[in-house]
Amino acid sequence: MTVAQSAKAFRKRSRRALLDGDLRDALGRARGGFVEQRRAAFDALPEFEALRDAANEIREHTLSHLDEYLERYAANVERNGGTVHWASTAEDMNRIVVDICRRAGAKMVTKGKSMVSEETDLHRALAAAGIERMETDLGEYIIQLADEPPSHIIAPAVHKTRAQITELFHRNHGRYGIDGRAEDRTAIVAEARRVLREAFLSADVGITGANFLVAETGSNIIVTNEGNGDLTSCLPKVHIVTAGIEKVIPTLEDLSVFLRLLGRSATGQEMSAYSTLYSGPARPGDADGPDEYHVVLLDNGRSTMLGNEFHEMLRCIRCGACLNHCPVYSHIGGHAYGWVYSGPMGSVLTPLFKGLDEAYDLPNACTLNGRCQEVCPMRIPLPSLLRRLRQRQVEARLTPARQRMALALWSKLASRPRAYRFLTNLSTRALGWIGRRRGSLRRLPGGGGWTRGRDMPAPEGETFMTRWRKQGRETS
Amino acid sequence: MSRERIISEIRRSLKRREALDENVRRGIEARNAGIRPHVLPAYDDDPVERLLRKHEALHGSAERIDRPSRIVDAVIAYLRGHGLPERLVAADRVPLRDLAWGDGVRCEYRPARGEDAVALCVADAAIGETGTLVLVSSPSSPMTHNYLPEHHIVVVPESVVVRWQEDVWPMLRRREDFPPRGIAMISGPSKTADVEQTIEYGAHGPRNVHLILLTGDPGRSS
Repeated sequence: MTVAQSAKAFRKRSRRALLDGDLRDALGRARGGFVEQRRAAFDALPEFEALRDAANEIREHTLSHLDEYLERYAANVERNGGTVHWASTAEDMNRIVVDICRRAGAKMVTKGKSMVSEETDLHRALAAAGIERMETDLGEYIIQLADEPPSHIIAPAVHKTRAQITELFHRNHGRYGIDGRAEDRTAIVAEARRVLREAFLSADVGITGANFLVAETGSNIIVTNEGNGDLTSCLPKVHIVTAGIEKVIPTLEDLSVFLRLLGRSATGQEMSAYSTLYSGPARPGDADGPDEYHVVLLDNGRSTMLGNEFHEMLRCIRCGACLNHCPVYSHIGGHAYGWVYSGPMGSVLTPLFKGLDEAYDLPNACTLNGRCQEVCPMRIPLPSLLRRLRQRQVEARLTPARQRMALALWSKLASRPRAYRFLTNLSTRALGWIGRRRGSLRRLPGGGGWTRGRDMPAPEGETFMTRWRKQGRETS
Repeated sequence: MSRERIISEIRRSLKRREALDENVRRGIEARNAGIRPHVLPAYDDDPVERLLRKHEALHGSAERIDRPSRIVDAVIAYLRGHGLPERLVAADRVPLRDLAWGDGVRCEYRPARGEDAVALCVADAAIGETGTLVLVSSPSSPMTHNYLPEHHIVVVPESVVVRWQEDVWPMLRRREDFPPRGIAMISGPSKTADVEQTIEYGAHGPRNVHLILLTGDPGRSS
């Protein structure tokens, strides 16, 4: 099973995830940490809202002149001695990357964490071309050994317990002459360091993503805590950067705004350990650095998104804050979503990339509590985007007929105030009467799914409208 | 060609047929040429003191010296304190290249290799705001120094300490090689939280970053 799992089996997977005790422990630990650390970081930054405003303005400015900024960026990469490749589709990107690797005679490539490469399933393309790949972010490496997709965009192995990692290493590291079991955290990290160090030094090509692209300098920025992205960028003789076209920003001053938001939103850090700008291959006289520097710019539907009602999603900086604050994500984890992007941002992106019917359940598996939008550094209106997707599903008649009928009825009723008030009054009283003894209802007519797991509190007294009117009379 | 396809699809989405007209393009030029820092987080403390405090809070170590010749003693004390053999690689630049290492120490001025345990560098800037060291690549400052060895010793001349990240950009724009190939912004040692969401230091890069603040430094490193 790989990234290309269909998103259809969402219900089945979430049910399984809810019953998985290891997963529950891992998610519980992660949830508290991420949420608390983020809050502490922003409590210490009175300028948070001003930074959000600035970041949004920069992104909107860049996106509304995206053609111009991409051309500028590309011209500067080329001036630095690099090569820019344009990929309309996932297949284009994979073909371009594999071609560069083949021309370099690459047997083994190291890879930094890159959501874009997960999106295009680059792993498969490399494997099909007989090129060995070593993921170098520890979390990515762990899930590579487990042959699983990432379950969180910034903590890909968040679902794995320490014991599971010990076993994975034990099963896979025999070929490096490592026999013992790395039981504690320090031993696990040290063993990964030893194995991956060899890979860094012997790789023919290094492939990384980019957190941002700066048009002014033709640079890609890599932000990591481990330093794996830098070793992947600096050591091999060929460096390939893969990035979505929405990653470009105008200048270095603009970059500073985003760097202040990214680390804090993701992990509560003011700055991640390493934020590095790379601009082209080694210069004359340089004692290290790659001979070739390639950037592959991926569209894969982004340019279409730019013109439709989901364009706000292009502001996303992939920090993961919306995942960490989502009650649905933090109970079922990332794998239940069935594709590389999970949580609220994944529930918007997956249907747009994979099709409304492929990912039918995702926009509906949301309580619309709005926390994702509150914490999003880019103020992406995720709940509204999810509602828009639901609307599209109804329009495309993907929503079950019964549900559509119920919605149509409700909308008819809601647009007739008198009838609406009469009926809600009636049902409030009726339900209150039925549940008068227990104070709650075990079953709700037409709401069997809802009451299967819990009771419905019985309404007390009157509807909101009735009380509102009464209060209005009393105060005036 | 993919390039044309992507650009024209973007224009279609932006409801524009052609490239931007000259006026708009000039507006963009003006925005970017006149760019100023957007939002600077206010702080009161002295940037040098804050740099040291933040660096230590990030799990780095630090000390102060008052003249370049003291670098040798500081490095030797560090190596002994960590039980390391007295050998290292260093950036081939002022003030490191003129140091008198004495007999026992083997200091080589070359890029780092897998087996090197210690690298000695000079920061091109250091940011008080976040405790971040800025190291720019050049023929005399290889990028591998920053990431391969387990111990990264960085000399920070007091004169390169700035308040905010945005103060670094004009410094870089004045360089002849702008944009330099690599601009490393380093905030503490390498770390990972991928096992049980608990931090472990020394994931792939240095386990420790040792900052040597060189005070009262008249000669800038070039």
